[in-house]
Amino acid sequence: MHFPICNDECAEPRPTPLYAACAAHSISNSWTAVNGWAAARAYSNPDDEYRAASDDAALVDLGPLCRYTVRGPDAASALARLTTTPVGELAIAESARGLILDAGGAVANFADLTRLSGDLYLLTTATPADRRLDLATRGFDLAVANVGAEVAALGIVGPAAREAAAAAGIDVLSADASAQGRVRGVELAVRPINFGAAPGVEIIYPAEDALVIWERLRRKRQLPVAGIDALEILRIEGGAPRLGVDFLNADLADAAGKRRPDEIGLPHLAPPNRAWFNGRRAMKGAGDPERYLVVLTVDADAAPVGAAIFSRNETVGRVTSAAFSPKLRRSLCFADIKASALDRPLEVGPVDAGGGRVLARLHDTAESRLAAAFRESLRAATDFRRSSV
Amino acid sequence: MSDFRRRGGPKIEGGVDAVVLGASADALAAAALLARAGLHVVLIETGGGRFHDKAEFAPGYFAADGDPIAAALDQEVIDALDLYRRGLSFARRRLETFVRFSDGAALVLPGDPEIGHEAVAAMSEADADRYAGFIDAERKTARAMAAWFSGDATLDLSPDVYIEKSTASLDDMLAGRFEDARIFDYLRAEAALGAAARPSEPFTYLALLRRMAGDAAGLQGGLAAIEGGGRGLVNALRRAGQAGGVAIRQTDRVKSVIVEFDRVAGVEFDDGGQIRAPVIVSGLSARETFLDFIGRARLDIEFARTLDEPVARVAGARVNLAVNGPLADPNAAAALDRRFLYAPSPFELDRAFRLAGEGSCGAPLIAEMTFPSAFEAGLAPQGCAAASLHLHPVALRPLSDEPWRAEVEAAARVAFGRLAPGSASLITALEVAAVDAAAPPTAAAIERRARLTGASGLEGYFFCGPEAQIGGPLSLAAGRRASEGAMRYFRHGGID
Repeated sequence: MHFPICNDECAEPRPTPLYAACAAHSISNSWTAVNGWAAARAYSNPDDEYRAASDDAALVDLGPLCRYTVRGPDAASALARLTTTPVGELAIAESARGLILDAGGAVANFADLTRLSGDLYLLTTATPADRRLDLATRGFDLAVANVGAEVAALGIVGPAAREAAAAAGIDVLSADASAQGRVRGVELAVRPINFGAAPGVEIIYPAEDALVIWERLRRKRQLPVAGIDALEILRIEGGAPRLGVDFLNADLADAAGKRRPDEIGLPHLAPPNRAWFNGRRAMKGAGDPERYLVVLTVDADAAPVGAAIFSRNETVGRVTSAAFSPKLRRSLCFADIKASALDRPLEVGPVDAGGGRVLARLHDTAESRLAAAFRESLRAATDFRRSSV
Repeated sequence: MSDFRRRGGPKIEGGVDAVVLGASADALAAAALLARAGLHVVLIETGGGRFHDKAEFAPGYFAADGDPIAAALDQEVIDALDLYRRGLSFARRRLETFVRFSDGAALVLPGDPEIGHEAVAAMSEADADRYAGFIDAERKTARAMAAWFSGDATLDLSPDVYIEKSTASLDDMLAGRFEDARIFDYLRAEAALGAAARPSEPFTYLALLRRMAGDAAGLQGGLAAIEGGGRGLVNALRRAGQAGGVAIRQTDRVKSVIVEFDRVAGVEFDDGGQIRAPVIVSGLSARETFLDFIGRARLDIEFARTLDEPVARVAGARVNLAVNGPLADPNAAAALDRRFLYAPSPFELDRAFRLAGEGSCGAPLIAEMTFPSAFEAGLAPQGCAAASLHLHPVALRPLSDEPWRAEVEAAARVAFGRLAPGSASLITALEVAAVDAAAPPTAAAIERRARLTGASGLEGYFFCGPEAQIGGPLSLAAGRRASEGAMRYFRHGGID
C-alpha cells in the first residue's frame, strides 16, 4: 500500500497520532498533506532515508492511509464484493492485497485486508472509501467503523524491519500472517507489508499510546524516519503505481482516464477467475488493453514528469512519475504508453532544456514479474467456462 | 456396474431454452415472442402483476382487474403474436374524455386529439387555434421522442430542444399559452396523473409528451378501452403463448436464479428442484428480480444502488364503486362508455400533493374514472353501473391501513360527486382495490430503465418488470425489448 497523491494545497492538515514524534525528527521541516493528514516529505536527507529503508530499516508514519474495521456475519461477503482480495480464503491473522474496482472494471482504490478475527476485518485503503463502503454494505448484516483517527499506524520499512520489531518485543509470526499482542500494556496488531521494493511490517495500535511504541522501537534501535520522497524511490523501484499520480481514481476520471488492473500492471491483484467482485464481469468482458503503465529506465539524470514517450517519432505516451534510483544508478520512471509501442524502441523527451531525447527501456520490477507470471498462468490454464451457451 | 444416476430428491429439468418469470402482460408477451421464435419456453407465473378474473366487490357488482384504458400498446407485439386473432379486441377505440373542472364546467374531448380544438372552441373560442397549434407542435415532438420513450432507440432530437422539453416544469411550459385557465388545468391533470412530482416542479413537462407519444389502437395520443380490461389483453397473450408452445407453471416457490460464471443457468425452487435454461426473462419487480433472486452480494455495487433508490411517498389509488342507478347529471349521464377526468384547479392540486407528501389524503384529487360495466356486460345489475376510479395523488400506504382507506374512500366520494354532480348518493358500495407508487419524472424513469435493463452484468438475464415500462403497464414494449435481447443472446452464443 502506497500513499496516494499529495495535496500541497491543503490549508490545515490534521496531525496524525504519530505527528508529535515525526515532527521531533523533522530537520528539513518539509511537509505536505495526504488525505488531509500531515505527512513529511523528508525529515533530513531523502537519500539517507532511502538508503536506510532500502538496506536496513526505517520508520514510516502510515497514519495518512485510510482504515476501517468491518465486523459482522456478512463482513466477508460484503468485502468480497467490494474488493478483489480473496476474502473467503483468508485465515485469521492473514492479510491480502487487492483493489477496489468500479462497476466498469476500472481501478478506484487500493485495498489491503487483514482478518483480525472470525468476523472482524481491517480494511486499509489508499484514499477514503467511506462512500463505496456505504454503498457496498447496504443490506448486509455488519458494522463499519472508520478508525483512521483512532489508531496509530507505524510502518517499519526495509530488509531488517522484522528484526527491528522483534528487538522491541513485537512478535511477527511469519512472513504472511499478522499478529496481535500486548507490548508494554498496549494492545497492538502487526501485519507484514511491502513498500515498493522493500518489505516491512505495519504496527497498528490505539492512538492514545502512539508514542509508547514509537519510543520503545527507537530505544531498542536508533531507527531513522523516512519521508514520502524517499519512499517514492522505493515505490518506483518496486513498480507499484501511485493513485492520483500514475493513474486516476475511476470515480474521478473521465472515460479515457479510467484504467483497468491489467492496464496499470496489476492484473494479479484482480484475477478474473476469482469469485465474484465488483467490476469483475466488466473487466472480463473488456478487450485487450490499449495502454499499459510500465517502468522504464532512462539514459539521463532524470525523466521530467509529463515528458513524452516517443516510438519511431510518434508520441506513444507520457511520463507519470520519476525518480533516480541510487541502487541501480539509473533514472526510473513510470510511463503510460500505448500497448502497440511496447515492443518497439522507446525514447523519452525532452529531458533537458535543449529538447533532447534519450533512450528508454522497459525495466523489470517485482510487480511486473508478478504480473508476467500471472498472465502466463492465465494463458496456460484451460478455461472451460468460455465455451458458448 | 455402478449406477451414477441421481436417485430421488427434487427434479432437475433440462432441455429448456428460456424461463420467463412473472405473470404480467410484459412477461407473457416476452414468453410468447420467444416461443414464436422457436425457443422452448417455460413461463413461471409468480409474484405480483397477475391479472385475475373479475371479482365481485359488492353484491351484483364486479370489478375487472387492471386498468381498462390503454394509452400505449405496442403494435409490433400485436402483429407478431396476431393478438386480434387470439381474442384481443377493443370495446372502444378513440375513447372520448369527459373533463370536469373545479368550477363545474365540462369539456368533452373527442378520441382523435387532432380535432380536440373543436371541442375547446365551444368552451373558449379564443383558445381553439392556440390549442390546435400547441397540440400539433407537441405531437410532432412526441412522435420524435416515441422510440426513446419505448426504449427502442436513442433520442433523435436536437440537444437544445431536448434540454428545454426535458428539464422544464409543466407550469412553465404552459404559462401564458391559453386565455382560459381550464385548458391549463386539463393539461396539468393529464400530465400529473400517476406522477410523483407536482406540475410546478422541474422535469415534469416530459410526462405530457410521453402521454402524447403513446399509440393505442392505431392512433397516436389516443386512448382505447380493451375488451375485458387488462385481463382481456393478458388472456389474448396467454393464448398466443400456448399456441406457440409456452409451458405455463403457476407457483410461488421460486427460490433463486442460478448463476454460474456470471451467466444465468436456470431457476431453483424451494424444494431444491431446478429448471436449467441459458436465458431468463423476468417480468417481476426490480427488487424481486435482482435482490431476491440473485442477491445483493452478486450485483455490482453501482447497479445495486439503482435498486435502493427511494420509492415515492405519493401514490395513486384505485377504487371500485357500485353505482345504483343512472347518473343525475345529464352531461355525465349522456354516455358512460368514455373516460371521465376531474381536473382540479392549481390550488386544489397543489394542496393534494402537499397533503399526500405529508402522509395524508386530501380532496378533491385528480380523478380518472371509467365504467367497466359500460364496456363489458354483466359487471353490474341492470340499470346500475360499476365504476373504476383512479385517484391521484394520495399518500403511499398499505391497503391494510384503515384510517388511510377511510380517507381515500372519502376522496372517492368527493371525486364522484364532482364528476357526476348530484349522484354521490347513488354510491352503494366502495372498495379501495389497489395502490400504485407514483412514477418518477419521465427522464429519470428512462435513465433508471436503461440501468436496470442493461447494466446488471449478468449474461442471459433480461428484465421487463414494471420499472422497465414507461407509459403504462399494458404497453408491452418492455416485454418485446427483453425478448429481442434474449433472442440475440441465445442465437449468438451468449454475445448480446
